[in-house]
Amino acid sequence: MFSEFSEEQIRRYARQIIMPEIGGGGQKKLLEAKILVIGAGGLGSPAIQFLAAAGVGKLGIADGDNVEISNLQRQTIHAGNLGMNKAESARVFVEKLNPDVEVEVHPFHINAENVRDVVKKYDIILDCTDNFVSRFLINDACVIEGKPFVHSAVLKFYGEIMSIVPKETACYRCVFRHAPPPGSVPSCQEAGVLGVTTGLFGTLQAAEAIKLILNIGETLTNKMLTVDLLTMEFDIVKLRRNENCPICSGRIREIIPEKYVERCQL
Amino acid sequence: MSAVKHYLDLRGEVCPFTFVKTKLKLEEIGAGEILEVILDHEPAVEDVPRSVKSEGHEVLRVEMIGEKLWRVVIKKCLE
Amino acid sequence: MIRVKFPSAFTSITKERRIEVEADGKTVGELLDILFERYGSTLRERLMKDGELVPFINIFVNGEDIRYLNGLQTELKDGDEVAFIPAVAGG
Repeated sequence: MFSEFSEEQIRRYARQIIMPEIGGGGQKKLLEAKILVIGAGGLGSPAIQFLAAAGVGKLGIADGDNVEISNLQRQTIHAGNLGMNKAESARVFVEKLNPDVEVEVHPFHINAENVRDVVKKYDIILDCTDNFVSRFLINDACVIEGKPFVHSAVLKFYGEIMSIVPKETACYRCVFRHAPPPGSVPSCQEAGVLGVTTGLFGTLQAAEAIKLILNIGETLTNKMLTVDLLTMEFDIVKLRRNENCPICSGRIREIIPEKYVERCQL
Repeated sequence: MSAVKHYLDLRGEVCPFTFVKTKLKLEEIGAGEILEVILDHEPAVEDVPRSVKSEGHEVLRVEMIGEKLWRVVIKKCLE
Repeated sequence: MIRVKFPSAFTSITKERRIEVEADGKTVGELLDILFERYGSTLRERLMKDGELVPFINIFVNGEDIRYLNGLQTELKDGDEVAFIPAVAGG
């Protein structure tokens, strides 16, 4: 009857097909989309959950870690998978949730040598990593490869999120020129984080990705949303492309591994 | 000149799938074309026309064509 | 009065999240001096290096990055809101 969807798909996606912003056309776009989630941890877990639920046709998941008990305080998709590689564990979860989603497992950490090759294959990238070096790597690779991506980072009750359309909007490096000296900014391991913080922001990342795929609504481009869950302050600040940004300007067009050891300064 | 007509038999289907399938069919047909939907689920007889109108299409008529059987005639809006 | 908001990353130093400071007509740089006076050298070390703001902490006045206003010379007026956006990397 409907060339695009099976009976099961119509039933599965009914709640979003009826939305004028999505419809059958939007659902088709989602099923054809290829999204890469780098990091299947705190941010990655909810992002993967909701992208899979929405029917994103191809989900790449990259993570070199194994599931540990301390992860389960926030990374709920790994329930029952202690010891398993996280990307693999995420695949198990997705397969149970939605067979429409093809998962490509990348059971390793993204680094300067592999980042461009991995991001190339996807339409949208989600930065769900947990360290500065990865964030600069992902930013630079995505801008060089022309891949829109969604950045988010958290600590304790606080988080930030912005979306980047390469060459058009401010990139992560436009805002944060290079990484802080090691040890100057606490990690979640040192200062802590709550499941609700990562849960919120990973979900927001998925929302941005869906909007980018469907070209609907307003995305957080040239903007950063910051949220402090302790005070419930949701603020949006304006960002601008930095004309001196070595990556956006195209001055640097390659990932040079030596540059990404600590400070990621270009 | 009569407009192109399409048909959708949704007997046995219930809300909200009656609207979902009507909506999907409307997406497939051309602007200004007609879609005749057959329903046998009473709540859908109100729900489908209302939902379809909220998306900007025109409901030409809703008629009972048998016992617990209705036809809803919709004209797809011009895009 | 200038409203200053501190992010989670600073509250180990400042204890408070939101304060009001008498700094109308002063520059952002002068506001920082007031804050360093109040919170001590730990805050200064976090924010400044060689007399300049460190690049991984951004300061916004009413939602606008001071880098695109007048930097540390940006003038503040009554009711302005100053926020710090430090780089965090957790995920």
